[in-house]
Amino acid sequence: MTRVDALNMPVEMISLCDDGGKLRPLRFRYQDAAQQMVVVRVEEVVYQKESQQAGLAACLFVCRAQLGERQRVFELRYAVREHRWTLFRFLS
Amino acid sequence: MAKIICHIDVNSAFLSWSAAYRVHVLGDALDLREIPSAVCGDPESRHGIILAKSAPAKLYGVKTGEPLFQARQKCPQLVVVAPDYALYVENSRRFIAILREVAPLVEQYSIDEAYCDLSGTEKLYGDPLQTAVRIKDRIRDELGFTVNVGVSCNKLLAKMASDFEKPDRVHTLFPAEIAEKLWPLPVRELFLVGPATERKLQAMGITTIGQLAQADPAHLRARLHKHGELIWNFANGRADDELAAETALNKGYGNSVTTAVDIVDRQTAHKVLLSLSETVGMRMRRDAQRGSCISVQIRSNAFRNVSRQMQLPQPTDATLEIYHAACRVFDDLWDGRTPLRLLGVQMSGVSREAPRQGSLFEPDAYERLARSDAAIDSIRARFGESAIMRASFLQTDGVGPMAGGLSKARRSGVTKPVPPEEDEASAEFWAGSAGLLPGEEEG
Ligand SMILES: [Mg+2]
Repeated sequence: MTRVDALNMPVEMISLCDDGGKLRPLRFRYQDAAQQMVVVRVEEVVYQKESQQAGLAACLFVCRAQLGERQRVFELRYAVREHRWTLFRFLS
Repeated sequence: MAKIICHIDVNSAFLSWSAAYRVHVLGDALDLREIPSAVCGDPESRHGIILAKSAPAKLYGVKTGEPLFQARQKCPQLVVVAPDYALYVENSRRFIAILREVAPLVEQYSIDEAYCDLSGTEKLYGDPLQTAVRIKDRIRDELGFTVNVGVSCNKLLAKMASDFEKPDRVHTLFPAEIAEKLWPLPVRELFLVGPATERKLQAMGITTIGQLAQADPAHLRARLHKHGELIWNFANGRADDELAAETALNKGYGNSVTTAVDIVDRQTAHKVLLSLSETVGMRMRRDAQRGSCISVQIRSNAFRNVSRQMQLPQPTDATLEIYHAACRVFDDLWDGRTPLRLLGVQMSGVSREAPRQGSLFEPDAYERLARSDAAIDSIRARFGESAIMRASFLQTDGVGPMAGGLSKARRSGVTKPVPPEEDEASAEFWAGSAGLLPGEEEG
């Protein structure tokens, strides 16, 4: 099986931190390959977990949303130390 | 009740940590552990030193400590990456944190090695061997890198056992297994047998650990003095664990830098020492460690190495205290004439939060330094290492404020940042957030 590099693209994010410390991505945007600004409204967080891979704390969110014509499933990541969100990869 | 000691050793630590970061954090498809690759002190220079190598690179004969050009001669396709000490410190911390969750007693031995005492945990966890396997698997699954675990009844044998077949393995080396597993190995594999001792033993016809174990201790003492008796005991699996603990405390935090041009004046040398003290101090503070002994190493342009050490009045982790001590040792060591190529600062006698006595003359001096260091560390952690520097680096002659490590060209992953200008789309993006809150979105 050949592996592909993840997208790992920084995005601007509006997220919700609830009073229990739970984080939830709501809406984010990025520039696509054609320099077009894409705004994505997260419809559902399908799955989430915390990661310590390579010693760095991160929160992983597998989400579903409408992107243009298609419903897509993708993984968002929040790097705790860097306070940065990335669109890590598309899963469908 | 028999003691159960584990030694946990990260497989090719620096390389594994850089590889795990690329695969698990940046999402790279390429895993450095699966190709001939190495972490190299200064990858741009052919004289950069190999700090760690992958298993495939090892098959080409690439060795830790050799210069890059030599490694490239053996393995032209070697992929080389710069070290990322800040990342390594994070990995080390998480690795030790997992051990502390599991084992009642943990002693960190170096950035990538630790001992755990699992004695008496059978009732809690069951068979210690299974516990060792669980520790190994948990580190692999949660942190993304592999370790070897050696299990025995003392530190020495546990450490020898973790060095058996790698990676991702648990090995036992109980006293009953010594003859079978330890004695056939070449004597240089034994803990504290260096090249000089190996030569002396070879001259005595001793080439395996087994031969050393069966040699006459009086004979060994005559040739190798106390060290002879020590390694004879080691070869027989007998170790005074206090001694291993002592060695552990002597491990320290060090940093050195090879300069692009020869250093010929004291002022520049002191500037280099300041930047080295900065990185050493920062790493110690991150680990909550203080050191009580400083040593300074210099190398002349004729590649002669000299070093000298000094006991500090108080254990410290403060940059300025390290720096002032380093300057004193350096001024003592250097003749003021010989052009220098390398400077190094090492803190040893390290322990976790070693106690400090209040100074009669400067009661709050250390507290002040500690507060300022903590502020500097947090600014650097948030805004990058160049966000704050000492004023003496403003007019600098190629001496960076953070010499010898902490690479900057990492954590890229940046593809297309959003442009900063505020347009209508931006206004809508941010203003539209109210309707997104979970309680409101259906309305
Ligand atoms: Mg190791």
